[in-house]
Amino acid sequence: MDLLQVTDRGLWCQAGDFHIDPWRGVDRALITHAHADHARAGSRHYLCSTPCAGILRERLGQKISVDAIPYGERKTINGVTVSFHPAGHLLGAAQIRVEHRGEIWVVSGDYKTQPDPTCAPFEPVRCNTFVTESTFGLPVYHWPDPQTVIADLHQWWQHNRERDRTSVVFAYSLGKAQRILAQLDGEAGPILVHPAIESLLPHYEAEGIRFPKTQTATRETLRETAGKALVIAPPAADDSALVRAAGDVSTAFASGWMAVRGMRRWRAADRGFVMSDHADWRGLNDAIAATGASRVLVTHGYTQPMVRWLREKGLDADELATSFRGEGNEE
Amino acid sequence: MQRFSQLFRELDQTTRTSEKLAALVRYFREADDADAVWALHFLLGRRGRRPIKTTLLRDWVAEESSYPIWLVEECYDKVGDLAETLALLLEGRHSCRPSEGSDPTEAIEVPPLQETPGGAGLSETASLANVGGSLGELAQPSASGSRSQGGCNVDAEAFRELQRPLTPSLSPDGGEGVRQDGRGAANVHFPLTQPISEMETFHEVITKHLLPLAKLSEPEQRELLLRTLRAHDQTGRFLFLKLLTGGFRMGASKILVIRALAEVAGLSRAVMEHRLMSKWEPTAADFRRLLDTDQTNRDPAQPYPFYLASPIEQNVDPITDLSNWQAEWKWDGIRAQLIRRDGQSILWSRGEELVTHGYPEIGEAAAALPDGTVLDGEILAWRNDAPLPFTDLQKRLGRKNVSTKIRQQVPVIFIAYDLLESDKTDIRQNLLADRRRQLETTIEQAAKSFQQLPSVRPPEIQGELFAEHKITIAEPGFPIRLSPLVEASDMDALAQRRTESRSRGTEGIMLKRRDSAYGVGRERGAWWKWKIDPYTVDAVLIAAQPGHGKRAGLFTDYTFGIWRDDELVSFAKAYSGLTAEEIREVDEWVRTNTTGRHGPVRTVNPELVFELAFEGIQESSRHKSGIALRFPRIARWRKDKPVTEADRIENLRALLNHS
Repeated sequence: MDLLQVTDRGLWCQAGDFHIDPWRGVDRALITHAHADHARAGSRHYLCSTPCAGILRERLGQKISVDAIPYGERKTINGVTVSFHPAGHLLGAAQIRVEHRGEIWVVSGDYKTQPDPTCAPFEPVRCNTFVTESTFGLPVYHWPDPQTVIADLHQWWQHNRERDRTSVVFAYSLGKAQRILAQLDGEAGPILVHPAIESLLPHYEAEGIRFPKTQTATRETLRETAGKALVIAPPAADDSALVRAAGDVSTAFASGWMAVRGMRRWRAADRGFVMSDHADWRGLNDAIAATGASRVLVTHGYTQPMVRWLREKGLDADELATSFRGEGNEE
Repeated sequence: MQRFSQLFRELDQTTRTSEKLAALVRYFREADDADAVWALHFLLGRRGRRPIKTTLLRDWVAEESSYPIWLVEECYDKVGDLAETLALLLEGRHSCRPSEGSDPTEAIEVPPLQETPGGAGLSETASLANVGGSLGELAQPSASGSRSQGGCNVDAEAFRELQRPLTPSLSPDGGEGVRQDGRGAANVHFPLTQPISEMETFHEVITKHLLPLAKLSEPEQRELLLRTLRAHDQTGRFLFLKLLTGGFRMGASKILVIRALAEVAGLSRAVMEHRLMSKWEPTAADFRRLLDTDQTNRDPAQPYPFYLASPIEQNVDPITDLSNWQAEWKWDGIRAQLIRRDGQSILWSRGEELVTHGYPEIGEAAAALPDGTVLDGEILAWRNDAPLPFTDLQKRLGRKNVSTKIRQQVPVIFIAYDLLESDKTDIRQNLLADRRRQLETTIEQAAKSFQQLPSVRPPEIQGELFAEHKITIAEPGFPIRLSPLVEASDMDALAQRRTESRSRGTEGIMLKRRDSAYGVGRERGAWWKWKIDPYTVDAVLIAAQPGHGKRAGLFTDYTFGIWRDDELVSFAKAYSGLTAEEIREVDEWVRTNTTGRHGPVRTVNPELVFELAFEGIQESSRHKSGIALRFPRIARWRKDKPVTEADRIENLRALLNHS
């Protein structure tokens, strides 16, 4: 019997009687991170990393019952030892280490190995079985240096300012948006953020993350700053009345999918900035190697090629069928 | 190459037509003629023979990047473009050059599981120091860029390969590897001895690194190709591979390229299009000739802008009294303008594309028209005095060489419905009623003089392609016909006649004001099209495959099934009709509901029902169902319908007799 197994509710630890990122309500849910496809409402008790707790409440409601423990701290649940370790995905994102009778599993949740000033860096945790995501599990996905990407973004912003055009960047509202914002030069021009992004900023600031000065993106502020501002908005705001209020705009998506030209063109944005909160092909391979795991379970993304690749490298790899599917496309 | 890369980036980084046009104009003005003409050649989608077989290209890049072929194929499915796939695979490898002073092999260190499961040491979290350089560096978010990707654990080998000197046989001094067949030997030696420099011009890259590939043996091709690829940056590699695999139509439509060039030359777009249809080679001299403004004052090929009809919507009926209107059938062919000037016949399609060569029988017949005549009309496949289905006409689309056989299989005619120029005079401002009378006379007389044309005389068609043709008329009579009028006393009677449309092989009725001039573009008011409603059918999604280009990596090409007894049989493919949101939704659904894989095609659970609209139906051996639809597209997603309520094949077959 595996230490963790997939049930219709999610990944379940029988020995400890708890679930990790369940997709239906359970009694005790351990949450890797606060993205909607991993943190769902309806469970009685939640356990997450300390920096995750505020965001989790923001998303699931202030009334939920949440326990939080610092990264690295052990907690025993029905004789099973669990701990949370930075996944580098976004603020509070954790890999969950589960140990029982000397066997160790690590559920990575979503992770990246690239630097991100808004969260603790990915920490390789040794284990026997590693559950990895594979959102970008093909060797065509290769992330450029994030500092170069941010420099390109500033250059694009300046180019647009010179043409009296508002710059609108679409980025996932939790994680990506803050990661970009934290690296923007506040002196370059007015920065506007969509309310869905803004509401999360205090949780970041509480963890000591600094942002440049921003304004809420409203019809009024957009009109006032038209031609100069950089606006960060969630992808769903594409084509919304709010963005149209900015007048002449240049649009961009910030996502790992932008690495492929067809995807950029399909999005019909002027620019695609290749920036992901998931590991690229190399990152996945490095991370898997660094765990020392002999068994790898691959979940959402390009599971089949990833499994085959790992098997050809001599690892015991399998697909883990889960219902995690959300932000792979939003990313 | 730099300037061309810059053009590519400028085109790729905007969705605005005006900016793309400006970028092209700047490029054509700034670039050397010798470079610009090659850019023009590729941007127009002209291509030569592929110098390297696609499979070899794939295999070599797989070797170079040390990935198995199946993984390369998997990536190609996702990316949808071979050149881009290969460039991305190489990028992952090439960017992995280790920073100074570090041995690539040292980055590989992986913490072994020192103890067997259960051992005490295992419960410790691996410290960052233990996992080697790559991940260790990630601990500091401030660690700057170049190494932040992690180490090169799987790539030490590949990297050494990159640094390896060329094999002796192909080194500058050793000529053994070079073919000595006299044809290409001299050329072959040259590129291999030339260092590849970032400063090389675009035409040098093409003439020294791309074109010579075709003359080399396979091992030599491999060496030169990999060497070229190694010497370029990511954009350069992508562009080179794109040029190599052909079909370089990126970021700018052909029309846009022609517009830009016309602007640079100070000529109209149609004249530039016509010039580009003439013979030209990618040489600086020919480029200057294309831009030359002193050639002629008035180009005989210059067409008039087409006048386009507006649709009559179901409930918005602009016409109540029919007395001032002329009704015709709406033909389902290719809208075209036939010009006879200066002893030349020129046929333009509505996209202002020259199609004279594709329909030689029309150009030949136009020799019977008086000089200075321009007709507006439709190209139709035609037999026994009735139009053939559009699918037949499609067999003649895009052909460069029109064989006698295809002329007999699919005879075409030009059905004329307006006269724009008569006796060398623009008569578009005359009233339609007058133009129509003149049109009738013109065609009647031309038909007479056509009978007197010596049937073996080489036709006077612009260009020399047809000199060797003897005129063979598969469809008897003069292939330029008059579009007949549809007689009806009032709108109700006309609506009744409109029901004949399908059996006549037409798309409905055209209504034109008798007292109107010939307009420009989509000016509303004088021309209306009253189309018959499309057929619809509820079909089940049974398979999907990823699209290409803009839809690469998304499952957007669908195969639909329909019930035959208890079985769903395939009968149609459709690519369009869904919104971007729906496309994403279906894409995700396909990924989670795949039942089988056949190459890029995924079969899926038969669960989703879509309403397809189509224009007609034919017997076909292409689909399992034995029928094929004309112009099928998705009308809407019937989320409300269960699969069991999708249509049955009998219902569709019943239509066969009517359409």
